[in-house]
Amino acid sequence: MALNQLAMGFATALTPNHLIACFSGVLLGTLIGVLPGLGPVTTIALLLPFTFSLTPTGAIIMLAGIYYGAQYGGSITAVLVNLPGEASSTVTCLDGHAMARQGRAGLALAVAAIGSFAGGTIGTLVLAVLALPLASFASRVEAADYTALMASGLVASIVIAQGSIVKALVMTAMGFALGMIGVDVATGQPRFTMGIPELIDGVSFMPVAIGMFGLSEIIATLASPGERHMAGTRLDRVWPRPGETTRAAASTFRGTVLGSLLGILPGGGPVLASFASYALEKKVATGSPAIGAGAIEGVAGPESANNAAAQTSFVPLLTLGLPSGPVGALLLGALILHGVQPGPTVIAKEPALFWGLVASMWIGNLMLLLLNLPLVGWWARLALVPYRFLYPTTVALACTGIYALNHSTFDLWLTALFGVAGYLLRSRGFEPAPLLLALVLSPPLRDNFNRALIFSDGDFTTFVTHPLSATLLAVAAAALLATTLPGVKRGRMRLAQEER
Amino acid sequence: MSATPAVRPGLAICGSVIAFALLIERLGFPAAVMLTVLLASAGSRQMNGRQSLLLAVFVAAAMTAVFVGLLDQPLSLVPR
Repeated sequence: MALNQLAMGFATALTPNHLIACFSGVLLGTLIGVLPGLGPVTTIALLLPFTFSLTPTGAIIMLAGIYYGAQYGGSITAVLVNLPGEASSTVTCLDGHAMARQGRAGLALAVAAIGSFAGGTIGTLVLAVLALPLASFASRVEAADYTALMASGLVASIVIAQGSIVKALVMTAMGFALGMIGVDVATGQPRFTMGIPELIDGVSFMPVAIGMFGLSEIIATLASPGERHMAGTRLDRVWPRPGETTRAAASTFRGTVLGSLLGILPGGGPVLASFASYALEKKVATGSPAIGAGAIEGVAGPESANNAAAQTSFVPLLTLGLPSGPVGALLLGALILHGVQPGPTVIAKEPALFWGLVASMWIGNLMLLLLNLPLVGWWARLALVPYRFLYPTTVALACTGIYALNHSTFDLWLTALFGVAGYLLRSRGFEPAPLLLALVLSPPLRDNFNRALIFSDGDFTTFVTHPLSATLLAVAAAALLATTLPGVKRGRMRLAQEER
Repeated sequence: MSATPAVRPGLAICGSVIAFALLIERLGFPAAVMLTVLLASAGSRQMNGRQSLLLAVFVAAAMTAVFVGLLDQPLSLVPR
C-alpha cells in the first residue's frame, strides 16, 4: 500500500542528514534562483557538481530542494523585477509584477508561496498514489513500446513548446547526433570521436547544459541593451485580506487540479500547467482588478499549477525515465551520474531513495513556506544586485562546477564551445531545450531501439505491429500534423505572444 | 564593434571560461577565479577597471572559502 511506503519515505527523509540536505537545497536554490537571470535550470546545473560528495539519496533530496527553491526564487524575480526565472514563471510576471507596481508585492509573494505549497502537497499525494501502478505497467512494456513512448514524449514536448516546430525538430536531431558520439556499447567501436580520447565516453551532459543554458543566456543578456529595473521595493503587507483569501483559495484549488493532471503527461510539466491555468483564470476570475492588471488569481492559479505539475512530472520521470522539460532532463542526468537509472525498476530496487524523495519533496515545500514568508524582504533586496556584478560571478561558479565534476579541462573547452553555439542558435530562434532533452534520452532510446530490432530480427514493422507502440506513434504523428492546421497554429502564436 | 553587440560579451565570456581551463592547473584556484572574473567583466560596458578588480578579489576569496574551506573540494590554492 502506498501509504505504508510513504511512511517509510518520511522515515528516510527525516533523518538528520537528509533534513540538512533538503534544507540546504531549498536555501541555496532560493538564494541562487532569486538572482536575476538565473533560473532553475541554471541553478541546478551550477549546484549539481557539489552534490557528488553526498549519498545518492541525499543528493537527489538536495537537488529536489534546489529545484523548488530555485522555482520559488524565480517567482520572486518575476514579481519584483518582471524577469521570469524560467518559462513556467512567465505568466506570474503579468499579474505579479502589476501587483508589485501597486505596492502589493508582499501579498503577491505570499500568495505565490502558499499556492506553491498547496499545489506541491497535492502533487506529492498524486505522485505517491500513481507511481506504483505506472511502474508495474511500465515493467511489462516491451522494447518497441518503450522506444515509441520516448519518441512520442519528445514529440509532445516539441508540440507544446512555443516557437517553430521545424527549428525544434532540428535541435532534437542535433541532440541525438551529439548523443551518438562515444563508444558503441554492443560492438565496442568508437563512433564519431574524431580521435579525441576525451570523447570516448561521449559528450558529457554538464558542459552542454551549462554552456547552452547558462553561458549563452549571459551573452544574450549582455548583448541586449538596457538593464532591468526594480518595481516598488516596499513590500507592504504580506497577508491577504478575507475577501482576497477566498479568491486566492479558489484559484489555488483550480490551479492545483489542472497542474497535477498536466504534469503527468509526457511533455507537459510546469510550463504548460502555468499557461493553461492562466488561461483558465482569465475565463473564470471576474473580480476587480481584472486579470492582467494585478489580480490575485493571476498569481495564485499559475503558481500552484506549476508547482503541482512540477511534483507530478516526477511520475513519468522516475517510473518511465521520461523527462518533460529541461529541468527534468537535468534531474535525469543527475540521477544517472549518481548511478541510479530511473525506470520501472527504480521503485522496487531503491525503495528508500524513491519514497524518501517523495517525502522530502513535501518537506521541502514546507521548508520553502517557513523559510520564505519571513525572509521575503531579504530575498527582495538580493534581487536588487546589479547584473554586471552577478554575471562574472556566475561564470566563475560555472567553471568551478564543471571542473569539480571530473577535473577535466576538456569539459571546460566544451562548455565554452557550447556557450557560443548556444548563443548563435538561440539568437536565430533555435531554443536549446529540445537538444538537451534529446541528448539525455538518446542512450535509452538507442538501446531500446536496438533491442526491439534484435527481437524482431531487424524487422522495422515491429514498431507498428505492437499495439501500444503503434498507438503512441500514431498519436505523436497526429499531434505533429495538427500543428500545421490553421487554428492550432494561431493558438500557438497567441501563446508565444503572451509570453512577452 | 557596435554593429554586432554580441561580439564583445561573447568573446569575454568564452575567453574567461577558456582562461579558467588553461590556468586552473597552473596557477591554482584563487588566481584562476580572479582572472576569470576579470575577463568576464570585460564583457559589460558598465564595468570599470576598479569595480572589476574589487569584484574579482571578492569572488575569489569567497569561492575559495566556500569550495576549499567548507566543501573540501580538492583544488590547489597556489601555483604549481
